[in-house]
Amino acid sequence: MTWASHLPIIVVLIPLLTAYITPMLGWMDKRICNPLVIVSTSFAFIASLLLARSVLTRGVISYHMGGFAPPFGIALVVDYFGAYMCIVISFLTLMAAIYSREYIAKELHESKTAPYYTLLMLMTGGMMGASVTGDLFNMFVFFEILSISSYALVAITGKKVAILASYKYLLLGAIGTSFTLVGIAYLYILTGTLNMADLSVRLASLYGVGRSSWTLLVALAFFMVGYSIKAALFPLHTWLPDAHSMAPSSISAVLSGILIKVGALALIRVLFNIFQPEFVVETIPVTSMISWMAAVAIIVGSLFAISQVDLKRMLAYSSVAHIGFIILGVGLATGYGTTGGILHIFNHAMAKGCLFLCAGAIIYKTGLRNIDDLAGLGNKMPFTMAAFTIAALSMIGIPPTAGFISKFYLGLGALETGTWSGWVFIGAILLGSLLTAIFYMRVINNIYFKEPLHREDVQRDETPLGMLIPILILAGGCVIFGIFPRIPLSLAEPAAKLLLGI
Amino acid sequence: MEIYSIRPILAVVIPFICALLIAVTGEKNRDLREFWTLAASVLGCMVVISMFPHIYSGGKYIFTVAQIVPGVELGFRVDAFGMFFAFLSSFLWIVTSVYSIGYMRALKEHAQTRYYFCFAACIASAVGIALAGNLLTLFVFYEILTMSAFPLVMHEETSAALDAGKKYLAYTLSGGALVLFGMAMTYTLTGTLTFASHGFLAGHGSEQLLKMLFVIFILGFGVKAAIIPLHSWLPSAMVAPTPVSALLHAVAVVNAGIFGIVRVVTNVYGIELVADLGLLLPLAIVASITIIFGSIFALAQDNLKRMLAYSTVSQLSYIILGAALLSPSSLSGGVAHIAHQGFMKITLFFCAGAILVQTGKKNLSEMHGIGHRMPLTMIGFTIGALGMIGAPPICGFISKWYLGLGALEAGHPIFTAVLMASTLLNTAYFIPPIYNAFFKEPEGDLIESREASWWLLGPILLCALISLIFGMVPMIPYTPLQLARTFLGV
Amino acid sequence: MIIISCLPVIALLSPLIGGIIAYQAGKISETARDLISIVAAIVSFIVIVAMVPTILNGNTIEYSFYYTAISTLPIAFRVGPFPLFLGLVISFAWILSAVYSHRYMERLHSRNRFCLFMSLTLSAVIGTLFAKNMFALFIFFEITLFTSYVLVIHEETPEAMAAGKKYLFLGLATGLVMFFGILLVYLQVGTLDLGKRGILDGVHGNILYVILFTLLVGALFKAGMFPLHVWLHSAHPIAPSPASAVLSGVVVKEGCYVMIRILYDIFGVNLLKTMLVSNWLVLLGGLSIFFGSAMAIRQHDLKTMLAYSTVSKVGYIFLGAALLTPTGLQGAMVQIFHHLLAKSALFFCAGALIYKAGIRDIDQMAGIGKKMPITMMVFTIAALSMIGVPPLVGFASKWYIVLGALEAGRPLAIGFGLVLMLSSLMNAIYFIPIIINAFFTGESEHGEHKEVRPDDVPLSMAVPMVILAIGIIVFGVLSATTSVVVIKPTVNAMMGL
Repeated sequence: MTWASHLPIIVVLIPLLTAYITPMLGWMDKRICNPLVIVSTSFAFIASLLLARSVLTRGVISYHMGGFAPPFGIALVVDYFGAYMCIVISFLTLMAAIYSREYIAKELHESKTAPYYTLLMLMTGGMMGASVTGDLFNMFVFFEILSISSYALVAITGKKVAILASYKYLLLGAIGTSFTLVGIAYLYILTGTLNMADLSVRLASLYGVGRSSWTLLVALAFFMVGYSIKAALFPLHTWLPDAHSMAPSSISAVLSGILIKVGALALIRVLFNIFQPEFVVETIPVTSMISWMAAVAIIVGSLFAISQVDLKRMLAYSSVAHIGFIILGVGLATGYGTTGGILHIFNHAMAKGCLFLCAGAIIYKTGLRNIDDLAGLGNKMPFTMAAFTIAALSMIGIPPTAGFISKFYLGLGALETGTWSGWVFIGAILLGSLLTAIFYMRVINNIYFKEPLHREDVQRDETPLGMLIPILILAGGCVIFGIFPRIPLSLAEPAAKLLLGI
Repeated sequence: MEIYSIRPILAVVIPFICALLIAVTGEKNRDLREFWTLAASVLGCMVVISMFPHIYSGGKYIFTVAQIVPGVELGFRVDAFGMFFAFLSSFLWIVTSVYSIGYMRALKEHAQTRYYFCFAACIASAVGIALAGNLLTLFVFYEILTMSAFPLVMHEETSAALDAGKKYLAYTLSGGALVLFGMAMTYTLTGTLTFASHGFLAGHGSEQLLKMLFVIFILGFGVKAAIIPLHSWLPSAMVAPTPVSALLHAVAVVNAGIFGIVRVVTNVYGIELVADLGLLLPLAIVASITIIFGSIFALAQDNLKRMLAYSTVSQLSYIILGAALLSPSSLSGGVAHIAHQGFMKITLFFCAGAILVQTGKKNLSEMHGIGHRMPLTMIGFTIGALGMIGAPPICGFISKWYLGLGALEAGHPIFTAVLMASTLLNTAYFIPPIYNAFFKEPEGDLIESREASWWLLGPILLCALISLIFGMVPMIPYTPLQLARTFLGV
Repeated sequence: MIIISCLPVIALLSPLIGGIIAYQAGKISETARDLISIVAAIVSFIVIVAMVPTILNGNTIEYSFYYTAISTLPIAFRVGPFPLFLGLVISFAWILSAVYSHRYMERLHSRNRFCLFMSLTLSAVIGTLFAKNMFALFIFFEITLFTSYVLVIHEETPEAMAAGKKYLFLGLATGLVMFFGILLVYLQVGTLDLGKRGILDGVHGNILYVILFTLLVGALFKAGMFPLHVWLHSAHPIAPSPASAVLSGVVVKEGCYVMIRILYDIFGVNLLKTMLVSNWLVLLGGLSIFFGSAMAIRQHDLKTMLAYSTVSKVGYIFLGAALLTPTGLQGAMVQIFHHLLAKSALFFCAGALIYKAGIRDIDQMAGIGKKMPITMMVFTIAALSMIGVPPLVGFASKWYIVLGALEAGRPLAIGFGLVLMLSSLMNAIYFIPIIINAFFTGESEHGEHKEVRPDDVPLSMAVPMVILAIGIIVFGVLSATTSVVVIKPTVNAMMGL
């Protein structure tokens, strides 16, 4: 056993350990927190890449904590999907961390620097853990870690609205967590195990057998509702717009970019890893149900976004729509569709991360949040706004940005179902894309083509380099992965195939 | 015998080059500009004349420029009929040029460069039409003619002129579109558009289709030939300067329409096919109606040029009638009438122009006694008018004689009656002006007027003389009648 | 024979990179910016010319970035006769447009941006032309929408923004419909290759009609066909004139190009014939011809009128292509070529009028021909070509289309004869009064352009116009030669003859 075989636990431990060290070092010198976090997330990112490489070469990795084999020991199982999620999470967190150095200095009181980074690392650790775990209860634990740290991060500015938003998030989040806990309990009663692989085997014998199948269904229902809250799937999204718009922008980027995707990951795990695809697709058409919900989410989320005047709220509602895209792709349960859904996790993370970081930059420089006030920014902050435009185009799904590739796969997936509902879904995808264009183009038009109210506003005043670099990297990613989609697809495709068992 | 020669293209290119030279010279050097016109007209006419002997002995000239569409080239093929029309246009160009110089300078017309430029372009395209070896080439020049005559029609730039121009264009372009359509149809039927001595459509397509196609062609070319009810652009176009009227009525434009019809009848369909299809009688009837109604309309006019315009409408249908009757005599009479009508009508218009220049009068009712003040002009007018009526020994008689003969040959004496009736009507509108001119005393400002300059008078007398010569000795070589007979092989 | 060469990519990248460099250079020197953008267009043109001999020898040039593939769909390029032919003309028109812009734009704002997006649009259009499969094609097709959007709203006035909004959102919506069609095709046959003269052979049933409809919606929108023209008459006129010229002259042709590729390379002639849709498509083309002309007659704004005229001419192109006969297709191609030259020339003239005399309204043009003779002569030649007067190149296209209609069948032909006649007349009705007004009427009492001295536009604007006018005449006279050398082989290649 070389060190490389410990990668599954390394990726989880790096952020968690950092979370413990940060407050101590921060107590000595606050300036040290940021480099520390950047270095550790970089390591996490590299470790994730290595993990992905070993998954690609060796197949699914099962890592037994302390050498105890499941179902007795705690197992970490890294499949393609898990590795993929690790990369996305560590990558975006890294960007947010780089961005935070200058952003936080201005947005947060100095005393909150150390808690901020601590919470960020905790949250990352939770997300990484949820991605690689092979145990349902572990999943629950990691979810608690990430949820609680995110409640705190939303409220960290200490503004009243932020605290209210956090409280709303907390309430709904708590309901979600309890639901999943109940679901876990039911499954444990039924099978006596919480190891996912083990569960999947034991549950297979229970499909459609007498009373126990009712228990099974109730458990499934609890999981669905619980994780849908975490994923902010319509109509359980109500906490999201407040929380995501009130949090500091770097946190909004992480929340919108990856945290809700971890909710989606949990949904996927429940649907395809614990229950069998044929069960959730055919016996009890859960996937079809969540597809419909997702389709509604796409349309409704976009419509809500259109009616917003606050830039960050608009971005938040856009996330509601796009989590719809992801869940729809997953729910289609076809090769293309699920690939598209998984691919969109990455593409959306980059684009939405970039957009939130840009929004943060705008607030940082001008204090503006209202979309109508953004006139003239194209001249004031050309690079930031160019990045914003590229990311927005990726959200709309304009080639050659990455968003187009996911749209392509999602569309293929919808049609691949071969049913009339598939045609409705593709209608929703296309309509959603158009609606997305409506609200993003409004912003872009304001930025570039609207007469600014005050001439002095258009003086060149670019975002500081430290914040600009992550923005540009993300925007660049939107284009590069649009032109070279094979890079994310090399993981997303086998991930989908493995999940669907095809 | 067919000779490959650049003469046809030369005849077309010379006026075009002339047009360019005119444009380049411009208003700065008027004498040079008008020298170009005269020189080119003489040169062009000489080129056409140089083709006479060979053509007259039954040969042809051929020249191919470029392929327009595969299988159809921009090509020339000169036969007697084409050369006949080319000669008419290029010769009358000389005359009209001389006249124009006098007329335009006397009236101090504006935009003379444009005028000469367009005039030369019109001649070039008329010659192109005449010498065209296939329908497409003919059509190309036909449309260039339409476009280049258009600024001339509107030359005055008054609102009446602008309206006339628009009307002219609306009519002729619709006609052009029909011709294009017919041509395309012909091409799909046969895969060729090259004129053949006895037509090339025989054996292609159903009878129904051929009939329809024929109607399309007649309607298309009929617009320029001013067949009633497609004639109304012609009287409106009278607002243009007199030399332009001459161009429209005698030199190029209406003749081009007639020429097109004759080409279609003889070289596209072939006389036999047209006869077989039974299309001639309707055509003849249309022509007769035009003859009669054109004359009746002319009766009602007081404006001299408008009267002449309606007279043209009527006279042109003589030619169509001749083609429709399809007997050798009527055909040769009809074809010859293209030239005869041209010379006579140009005389009449020149006279009208001379009167306008000298007295400013446009209406017949104001011209009483003019013969006392402008005797030579009015003698020319009288010759032209008598020719129109068909009185011997003027060339109009010759055509009418052959037409009447042809009607009898064809077994349709009713058309002879039409000719008689038309003669009567012509008399009714031409004689009173002549009478008034010579036998009434001049009054008002007419008393002061004098004969026009030789720039104007020369062309009038020359054309009148030629009308007389063609009428008196029609049997000498190279007269229109002889050329027509050569072409028809009679 | 397939030759692997990166020339297509260079043709595509040259304006892209050149545009970006020019944008930066524009901050220092405007002349340098314009020179760079002109040079970039010239490089692109030369590169395309360099491909001519290879293509004429019957080879195709290909280049693929296989690493950019998703599944079996790489972003790849293939240059056959048709894309090459169109690319040549388009890049040439672009040079002229760039030259023209130099002086024209000097009075407008955001010149650097304009220059950049002109170059980007060229790059995207070339990408569309050279795309090897429908996937790559669609990518560039969508990019064009966005880059040209910036050109449309250049003025940034409320009207421009409204026009741009209509253009962008309808473009997106129709693009999405087309995208749907592409997905359908891909799922049905698993390929989107454009080189096989029809890839849908194994597909049956109503799905074919759905595919045809959805694909055509996107293409016809960009082409401005009735009833998807609703954006064109507001978007084209509102842009600065060099942009109007390329929008109407080139971007619309991109739509036509895609439409032809859809008909001939996705469906293929044989399949379309069995689908019995030709007559309906022809009818649609006829409607577009008629409608565009009818609306053009009603306009007073010169550029709006020209835009409606585009609607009508696109109808010709569509009609010619939809006839599914070699001659019809040939007519469509000649029409593409013709309209590109003539409409660019007309918009250049319209721009010259705005530049020199501030005239946009047709009624104000009285007597302008005497003051701006070169401009109005070019206008006249282009307008006559639009009407279809021989021997200008517009005539040749009309001729082929009529022939194509007649080849296709008789009842159709007769109906088409009517449309053709009507449209010729209608063209005349809206173009001729302008010419008349310009040359034959005196200046109106209001004297809108009294201050205009009788010198023509600057040389750098006059030269592109004159070149186009000469092109109209020369290619009209030589239409048979060009047809034999270029268009006929192209058509044969596309029809598989």
